Amino acid sequence: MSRPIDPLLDPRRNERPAARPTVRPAAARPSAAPASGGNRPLPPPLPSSGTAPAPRVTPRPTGKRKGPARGSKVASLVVSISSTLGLAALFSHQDTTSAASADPLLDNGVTGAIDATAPPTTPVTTPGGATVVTLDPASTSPSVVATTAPPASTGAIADGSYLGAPSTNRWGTVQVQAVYAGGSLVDVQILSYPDGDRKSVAINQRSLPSMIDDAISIQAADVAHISGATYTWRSYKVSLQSAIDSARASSGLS
Amino acid sequence: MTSGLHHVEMVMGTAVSIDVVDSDDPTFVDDLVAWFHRVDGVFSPYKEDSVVTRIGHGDLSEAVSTAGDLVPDVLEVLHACEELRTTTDGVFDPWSVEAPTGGMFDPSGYVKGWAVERAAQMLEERGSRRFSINAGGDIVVRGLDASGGPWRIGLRHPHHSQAIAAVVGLAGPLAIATSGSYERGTHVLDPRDGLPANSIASATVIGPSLALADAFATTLYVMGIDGLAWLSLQEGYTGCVITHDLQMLSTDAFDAHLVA
Repeated sequence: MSRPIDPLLDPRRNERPAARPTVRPAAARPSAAPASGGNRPLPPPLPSSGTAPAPRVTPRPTGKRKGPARGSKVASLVVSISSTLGLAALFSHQDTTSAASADPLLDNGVTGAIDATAPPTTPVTTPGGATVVTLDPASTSPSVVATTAPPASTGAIADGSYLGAPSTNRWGTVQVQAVYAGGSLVDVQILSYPDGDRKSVAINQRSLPSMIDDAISIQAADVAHISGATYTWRSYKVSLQSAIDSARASSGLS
Repeated sequence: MTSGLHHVEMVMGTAVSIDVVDSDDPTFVDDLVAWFHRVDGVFSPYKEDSVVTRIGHGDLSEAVSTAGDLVPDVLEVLHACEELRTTTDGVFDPWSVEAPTGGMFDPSGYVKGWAVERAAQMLEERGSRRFSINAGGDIVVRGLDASGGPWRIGLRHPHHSQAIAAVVGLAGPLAIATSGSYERGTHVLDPRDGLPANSIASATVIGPSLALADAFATTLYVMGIDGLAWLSLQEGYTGCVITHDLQMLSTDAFDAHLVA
């Protein structure tokens, strides 16, 4: 078996779609009608949320994901995200057929708007084909939050959006939605949080080389500093140089 | 054409390295070194007679009064720590950390970054626009490096101290801090349950203030992977975590800084 490509040195690694702000208010992106084929109208927002921007599901192509699709790890990530925000570890699963498809429209900001305040179990079809079932944020009833385990046969998380149950902590009510494509978590959307705004954070995952031979060498990287190292790289270089000098001297070289 | 200044000082319990690109006036470095030693005398949790040690052992007002002309600074740090305790929902809590001298107050997680930030201000006030200060792996950069490019900062590889996990290019003004348990064999305790936090190998935060980046990195480390969602709510700050099994999870805003 050939050695895996060092993901950090993989030139494809930086091939990303045009940079998008990761943490962004949902309102910053165009509220578009469903793209081609999306003839099904979106449900109108409830009156109480009439002025709030709707969060959007943005499954993205998975080709740039260098990390292996680790279903269990990703699953734990989702659960842990929910737990930090004080959420019950309950997610509704939304079926999808082709959320992982590389629909260029999805990365052009033309995304389907999902109304987080739609009545429970209202299905919404996104341009990418994901059918998203949103919950009534006011409801915390576990009976409403249908938990669907990822298919055990594949060991991967099914594509789609997973909505965490809303939870109230000292800052207010928080609800997150995790979006999967190709078995990987591609987006975590914070649907509501204390100041009433909405943000989304895309989580990228990649594997680091475990063998030091495969890791980025400090020398080759030509870095000025190393974050997280209490020694200073300059001191290290000086020390290394003196060690080399010493070795050379003791070997009778210059 | 200046040759620049390079200096490494052992102070505040770590190595502080000062690199100034656009000056070769040695008094720039002298001022900073003197500042760091003053901070160390007042804020060191290792010194029996430091203000921080006295605070941890009891009377706050009496302790603060011994800070001399650094009283405003002590109050500023106390206030900032109190705010951070709220911002981080108790994850960052200097009052729950037992200091080496036994008291229950150790603001080191904030003070180091704060002191470096103040040092950066001192350099800016003297006219420098291109420099970096690295205090034990927590770094501020201003402007561009000597080659005219962004400062190249490596992220320590959690398993190999002589390798790096990634390289970010930072054009100042920016700061970067990493929290992990691999240095010195120490543990970061989760103040919420008093147990060592070890769900991930390291957490790195980039943002405008080193003091906050440092505190946020500690918080992210304690929170683990899920802390990325929390961090995304902190305006201007972004980060990554590295798990024990060498998965690097990061936000797009963080990846925008990656150069290798």
